[in-house]
Amino acid sequence: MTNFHIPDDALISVEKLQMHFPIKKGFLGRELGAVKAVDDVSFYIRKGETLGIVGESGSGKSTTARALLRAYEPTGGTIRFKDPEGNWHDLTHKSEAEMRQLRQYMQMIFQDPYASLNPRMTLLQLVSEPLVNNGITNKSELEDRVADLLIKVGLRPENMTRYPHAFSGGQRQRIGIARALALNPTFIAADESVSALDVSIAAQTINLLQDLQEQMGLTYLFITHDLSMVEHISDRIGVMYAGRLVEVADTASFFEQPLHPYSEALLSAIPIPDPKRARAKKRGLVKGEVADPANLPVGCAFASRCPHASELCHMSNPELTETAEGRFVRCHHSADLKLQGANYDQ
Amino acid sequence: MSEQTLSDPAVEPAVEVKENSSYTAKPLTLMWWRFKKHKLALWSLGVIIVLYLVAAFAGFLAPYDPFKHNRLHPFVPPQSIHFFSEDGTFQGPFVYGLKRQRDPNTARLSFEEDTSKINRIRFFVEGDKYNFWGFIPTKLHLFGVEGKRNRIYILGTDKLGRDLFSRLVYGARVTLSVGLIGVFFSFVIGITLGSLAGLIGGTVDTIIQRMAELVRSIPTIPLWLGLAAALPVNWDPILVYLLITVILALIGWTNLARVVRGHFMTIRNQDFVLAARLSGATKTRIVTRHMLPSMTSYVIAAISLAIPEMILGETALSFLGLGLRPPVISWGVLLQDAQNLRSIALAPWLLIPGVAIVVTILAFNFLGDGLRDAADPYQK
Amino acid sequence: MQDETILEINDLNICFEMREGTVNAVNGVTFSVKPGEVLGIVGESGSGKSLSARSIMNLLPRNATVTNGSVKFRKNDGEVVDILAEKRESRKMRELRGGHIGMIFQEPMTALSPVHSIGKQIMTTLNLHTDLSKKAQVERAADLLAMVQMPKPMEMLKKYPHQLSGGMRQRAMIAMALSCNPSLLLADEPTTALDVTTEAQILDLIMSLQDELNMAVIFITHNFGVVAEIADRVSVMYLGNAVETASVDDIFYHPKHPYTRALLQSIPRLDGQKRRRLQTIEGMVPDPFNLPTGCVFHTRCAEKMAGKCTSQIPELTHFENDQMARCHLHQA
Repeated sequence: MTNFHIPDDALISVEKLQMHFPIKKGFLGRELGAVKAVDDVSFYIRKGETLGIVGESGSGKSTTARALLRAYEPTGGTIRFKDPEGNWHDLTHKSEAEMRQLRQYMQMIFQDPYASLNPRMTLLQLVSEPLVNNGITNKSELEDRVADLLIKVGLRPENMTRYPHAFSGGQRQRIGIARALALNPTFIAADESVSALDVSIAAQTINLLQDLQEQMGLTYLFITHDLSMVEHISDRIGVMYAGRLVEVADTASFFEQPLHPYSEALLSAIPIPDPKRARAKKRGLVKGEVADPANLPVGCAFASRCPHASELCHMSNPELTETAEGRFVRCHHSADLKLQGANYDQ
Repeated sequence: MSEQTLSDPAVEPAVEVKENSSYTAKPLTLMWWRFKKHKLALWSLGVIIVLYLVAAFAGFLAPYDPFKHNRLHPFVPPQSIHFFSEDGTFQGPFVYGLKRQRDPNTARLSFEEDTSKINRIRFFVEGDKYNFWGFIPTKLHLFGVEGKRNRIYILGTDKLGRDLFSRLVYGARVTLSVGLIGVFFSFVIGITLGSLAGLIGGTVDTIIQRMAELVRSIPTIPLWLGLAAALPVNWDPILVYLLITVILALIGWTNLARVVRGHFMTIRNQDFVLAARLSGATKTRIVTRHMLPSMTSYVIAAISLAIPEMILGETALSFLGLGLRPPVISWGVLLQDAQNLRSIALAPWLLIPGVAIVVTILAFNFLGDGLRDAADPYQK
Repeated sequence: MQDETILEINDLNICFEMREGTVNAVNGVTFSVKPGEVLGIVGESGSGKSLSARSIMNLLPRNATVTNGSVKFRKNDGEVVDILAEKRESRKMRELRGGHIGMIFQEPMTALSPVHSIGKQIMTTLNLHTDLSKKAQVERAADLLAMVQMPKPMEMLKKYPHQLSGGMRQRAMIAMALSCNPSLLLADEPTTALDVTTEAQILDLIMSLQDELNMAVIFITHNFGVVAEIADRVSVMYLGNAVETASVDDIFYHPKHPYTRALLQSIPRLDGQKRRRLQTIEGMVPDPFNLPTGCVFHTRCAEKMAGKCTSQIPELTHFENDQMARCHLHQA
């Protein structure tokens, strides 16, 4: 079934996930091709851990998260999820009604704290919506539960009657978190959840997410383009490029020694908030532009920008392979390359 | 740096920024606040309310029966209202009597003020009989002049000596209601087709869109002509009136459908709709609780912008003699009298219904603009 | 104006009239730039960093008014222009913009015209500020595109902005800003909308161009990492105040203002430490319509001194090595 072993404590396993969006054009909407937003993505997430997925815009990281919750209909592959009773569910074959049942365990925190809250609903209505949808209608019970949730995320329950526009970006993000927590989920996908926030507010939000993870034993899929953030919060890291997962590794070994040339390029590109280290940094590792997922080459998508690319790389697309336990890389030459990680002490 | 106290989790500070009533204000309240800032729209709203009140109380406001001929008074120019008589004594509001003259060369009748006769204006007088709101027979009118044979024509008369003011007031009933009823029909068609297109998408969307484009691409005047010509001349005026509004609606729905479809399309892809779906909301709940409330204000704005189009459509049809026909009174019908140069030169006051139309259309357009600006009070 | 500076902003105050009230968006910002120096301005949203930069171009929004302060710029020939005394569209301002001061923005599409080709747009600027012949203009435009490392510059001249990727557009905008050899480049979050790898390329480009052309750069960003890479000196802004200005090393290794310190501790770093809790700055940024009395940071400051910080506005304190901070902690 898969070319890798799924550990027993996995909560989610994704196999060969594919999400192609057709490109339609013309009077009758003829199909001209497809944007391969997500192509052949396989990974698993262990219970209680945080898997960080990094990638640039168009790498398919957000689409992966959304497809995981079946916000999109995946065009291929399987997604499996283990409910708290320990039963595995194949999400790709669930109806919308069955998904509604399962979504009490799987929730999402959005990137944009402005767009993700209905401006015409009060805090109470917003946070209680998942509860109402799951059959809790007693008004005072709803108010009590919402108050508990708000306290949990550090908001003041007496503001329950306010509308979202009364809150700042950081506070809105907390509202989104409270809503996601309403049904006691086991899994939360956070899609660039702190990217839109200011530095000091992002830090508060990250701390909150970590505290909640400890308290409630949550499992996170943390989507971001910010490598420092992902290093801070993740147990394991996946790197996506042009719709494909190119490397998966535990955080420490990834930053110590990445296996994919794109990972190395990313690591060299992050601006380091430390002038001395910034001056010592190796520059100019990445050339060219991000590959277009609507027009992917036959071979490895990174080959045209890769300093190590060979004939083979342009000819055939490498498979994601497990080089050591829990370390996956999609590169023909990973075994021969000695790549530069992030140098911590200098 | 000293170790910061890390309350767990960091709770927002107890000191609140100034309490702001907008924080808990309902969406409608916010919209109203925003709308109020649009002074022109606010005035237009006032004008429109007045216009519809005039239409509602037409019988009471009009001093005379709009159909009543007066052979002695054709083409009387608007009379001005005076307060002081020639000798400067205060008389209260009055109009002078009319002096008929015949031009010896052209044999044309003309009217002049007869300053020796003072016809005082009286309020709440008894006059022509009419049925208030169609079922209460009464004779009460807002104003009139003393003396059974005396007349007041504040906007003049037409060629048959009918009071233009009364006709204008009665015409408002038809013209303004055509706007509302026509929009109601096109709203029903537009919302239904627009939601179908926006919600289902795919082939349904394509078909509806192409249909709308087809309707929109047909030149309107010939289409109106064709459809209106198909209505038999001898039909009941009420039936003709209804059919005219239906015709207008059949052409006018495309714009509303496009607005509705567009909003469904945008809102469908908004994060808050996905959030609702992920929190277990059913499709019905998503549509009724999240999508519709977000777009009603836009639809209302679109409707208020569609009403003037309907009114203009009715006016144009009637003016061309293809829509409503006398004896029905609408502003378009009234304007028919001003069709030729001779009557305009002779009796320019016959163009007053045109002024009424312009004022109405502008008021609706300003109102629509104001509503559109206020429609999304959450925009920065 | 001091001899060795190219730009001096002194006690700048800008306020906004808005429906909800008056916002004091910039309150007494003071800094200067030396020729060939990169000044980084960092701050969170609403700190007034972009507005300060726009005042240099005399391009403030219409509803903004300068209530106090001056912005002075020294041209290459030594003439000092008092920018805020000039009319927005005066001949001198137009000559400065594009001719002596170049500007690049976060979103290139706002600066580039969608209906003209890149080459045409660069040549229009050249036409305004130089008297090159048509042929020389084409050559200069191609040179500029080569300088910003666009591949096949002659072909690129004919391209329209929408045909280029985000990174390429940013390059085109830089080429346009540099077309008349400005002595000062204003860069307002030019890499914020870009991906990490593209951002790295653009930063490298700006740094190498700055070196090559020896121009001064004011680089506005919210990202401390970017500042550490690019700036010689840094000004940290909070709620319309430049709370601290110092050399980049002093800012990162010897910050004097509690806000700078707290901000630096709240950014996650690649340090190999697992699960270090991030330091946070308590609370939220205050409502701009209702600024706190005294030091604007006192509502969130961990080191605030009751009585003093809540009531008195701190003066700018000067330290050695040109470091300045606005904080009562350092006042005698």
